[in-house]
Amino acid sequence: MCSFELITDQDIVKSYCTDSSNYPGYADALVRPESTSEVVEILKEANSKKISITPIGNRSSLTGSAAADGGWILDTSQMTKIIEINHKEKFALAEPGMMLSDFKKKILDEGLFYAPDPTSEKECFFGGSIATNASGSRTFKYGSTKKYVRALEVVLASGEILNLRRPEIEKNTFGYLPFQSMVDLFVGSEGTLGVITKTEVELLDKPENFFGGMAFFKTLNEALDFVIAVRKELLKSGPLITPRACELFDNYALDIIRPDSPFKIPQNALAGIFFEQEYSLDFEKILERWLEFLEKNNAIVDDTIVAEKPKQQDELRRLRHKVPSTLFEEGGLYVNNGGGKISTDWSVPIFRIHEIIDYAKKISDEAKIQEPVIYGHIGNGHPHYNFIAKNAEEKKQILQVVHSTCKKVTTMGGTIAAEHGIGKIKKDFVKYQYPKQLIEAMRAVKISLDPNNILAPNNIF
Amino acid sequence: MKIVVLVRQTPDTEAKVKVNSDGKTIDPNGITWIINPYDEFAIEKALKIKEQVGSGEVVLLACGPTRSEEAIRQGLAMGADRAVFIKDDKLEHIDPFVTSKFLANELQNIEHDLILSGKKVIDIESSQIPIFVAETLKLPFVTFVMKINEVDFGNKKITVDRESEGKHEIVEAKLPALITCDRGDDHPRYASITGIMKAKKKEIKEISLDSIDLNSLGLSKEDLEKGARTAITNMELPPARKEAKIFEGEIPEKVAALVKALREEAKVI
Ligand SMILES: Cc1cc2nc3c(=O)[nH]c(=O)nc-3n(C[C@H](O)[C@H](O)[C@H](O)COP(=O)(O)OP(=O)(O)OC[C@H]3O[C@@H](n4cnc5c(N)ncnc54)[C@H](O)[C@@H]3O)c2cc1C
Repeated sequence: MCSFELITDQDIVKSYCTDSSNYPGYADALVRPESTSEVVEILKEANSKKISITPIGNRSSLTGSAAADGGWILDTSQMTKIIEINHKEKFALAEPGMMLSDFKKKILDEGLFYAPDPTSEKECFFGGSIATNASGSRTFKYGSTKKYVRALEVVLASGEILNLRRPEIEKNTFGYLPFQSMVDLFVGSEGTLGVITKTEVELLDKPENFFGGMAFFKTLNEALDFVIAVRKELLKSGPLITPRACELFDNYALDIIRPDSPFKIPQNALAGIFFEQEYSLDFEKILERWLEFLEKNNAIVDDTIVAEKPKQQDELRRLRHKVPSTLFEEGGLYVNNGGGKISTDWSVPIFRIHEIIDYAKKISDEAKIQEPVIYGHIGNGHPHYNFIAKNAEEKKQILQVVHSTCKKVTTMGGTIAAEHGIGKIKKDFVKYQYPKQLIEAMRAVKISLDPNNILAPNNIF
Repeated sequence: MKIVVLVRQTPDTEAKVKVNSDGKTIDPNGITWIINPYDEFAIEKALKIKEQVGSGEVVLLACGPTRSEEAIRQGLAMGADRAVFIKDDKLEHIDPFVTSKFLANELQNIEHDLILSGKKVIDIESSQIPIFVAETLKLPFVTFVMKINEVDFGNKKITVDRESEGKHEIVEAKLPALITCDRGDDHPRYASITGIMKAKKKEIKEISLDSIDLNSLGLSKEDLEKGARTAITNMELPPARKEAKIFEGEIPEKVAALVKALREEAKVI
């Protein structure tokens, strides 16, 4: 007899079976632990019966990683406490089930700042963002989630609790490097190694001020040149151009935001770059330098807007969010036809960004499929690259193009999954990036921590 | 064609307001200041009129403490041509009547065919200032205007659309007139980077408080501190709302939990 409630009513269970990728999951039951000790009990019970457990956050995953392949779904939404916000040492300790944006707001209200900012922060949980090593537009300056994770409490498949802390020592030669900080093993592990029940994250001082902006360009190439110029500028000493975000909108993405845009998007603009920059002193000097820099790099300067007011800054971010949410909705219309949204998340070293985009466009032209929508984290060499397939036939063609692109990406020193992970729908691409033996080694780690393969089965492997 | 827009700086609508220990004023610490949002709609309307006419001048007129300069610069960055600023930190808490006297006085020195302002200022939730100004200058005024339908400078006439109690009133007024603006379909434009740089070079003519002859305006020094017609005697935050209860889960579960709570906890059904 178990002491936790096992919800088996399929009317309820079914509505928890898929995620934002629309991957068709299924499960026998749903459990909703309220504490670490309940998670322990659930895992012990499941492990003893070899029942699969898929931990879920808010199921905003775009890779099917939160769509269970059988067994029980472990919903973390009841574990919502912020246990501590420590001003002196600048950290917060929290359970996984709070909406990330609510968590960040609480931190901000305390005068501190939690940097990771996935576009889906209003749709994903704090815990989900840890389990996927989420990143966002401000990753350009701040890096991804993993940089901020100081310690984790994880419940393993056996029900054992691991308390892991990132070592603070500066030198260490004991063990294989990827194992030296065990925290990193679990961040981004997509539910496959353990259930994250508490996370301690580093906080920063709230940035004094920032401004947002959007610059427009007559060609996509000019926008990409601009991004390279920004990266070069950052290497200079004492640069004044220090954006924390640098995001691309191609012409299709601009068309998505045009009807809703509170500012003029010039008709001749075929690309836009959304940027944000923090500053403490001399706003005017910084803007003067931006103006000079934009002019030199062929931006349409008279239409480059600057958002100084919080409301405008929010509006800009809302517009940025509108691109993936519109594509997601549009893709959803064709799922029943065997189509849908096909997104990839490759990234390449920034200096090869023109090359890969040219290649990707060329092969989609050759395959005579519609052009992809390219937008997002271009500053990190990481554009989102989305197609909408109207039916199964189109999907097949698009997937061929996507495979060729991903192959090419890996030959350029890039990755096939800069964000969102592998989940269940990107497994076909895995082979391009790492040697077979290393994938086997990763699988061996998974099996040694979860011998019955009960945790998030079919994710990654 | 000369348009004057009255502007005021107010706390951001999202700002968490704290009351000072005097119980009458707000604590400015930690507040982000913005142009009063309705004044921004007025600036947008003014700039649109200027664009339609193809010539003219948009002048901002403000009366307030030093910090207000930032709001003026933002208005200039949107595209206004110049500004006049009655500037003194002693103007932080003056009442609407005194403010309107200062503005009306200065308006006599600024050529104008049309005066626009926001329909209200959001810091003290007041719509009085522009109306006092119009009364002082004996100008026709129309309040809560959503849309400027037509400005006919040749025949000195303006036609506007004001919404009231679910109906639209189309009102015609003689110019010069004062119009207080609501949002309508306007979305205040974002400043362009070139706009911000140009704004730095635009003129802000400062008027010092000392240069104003209070007597001639029928005001005394005391009016500045205590208010000529109205005074805020007490300010408090609204009582904290009771914590809300949010039901989690899927709709059938939520509905069941809600019905149970209405029956057993709130005892209303
Ligand atoms: C419109 C849109 C925009 C997006 N933008 C971004 C973006 O900018 N950057 C980005 O990185 N992602 C983005 N995503 C993807 C997604 O939002 C992120 O991956 C997010 O971090 C997932 O969080 P979640 O709470 O929804 O987790 P879920 O989707 O529920 O789960 C994701 C994975 O984490 C595991 N997991 C969740 N909680 C736990 C836990 N407590 N312990 C162990 N494993 C757990 C699950 O098993 C699953 O493998 C976007 C998604 C959408 C729909």
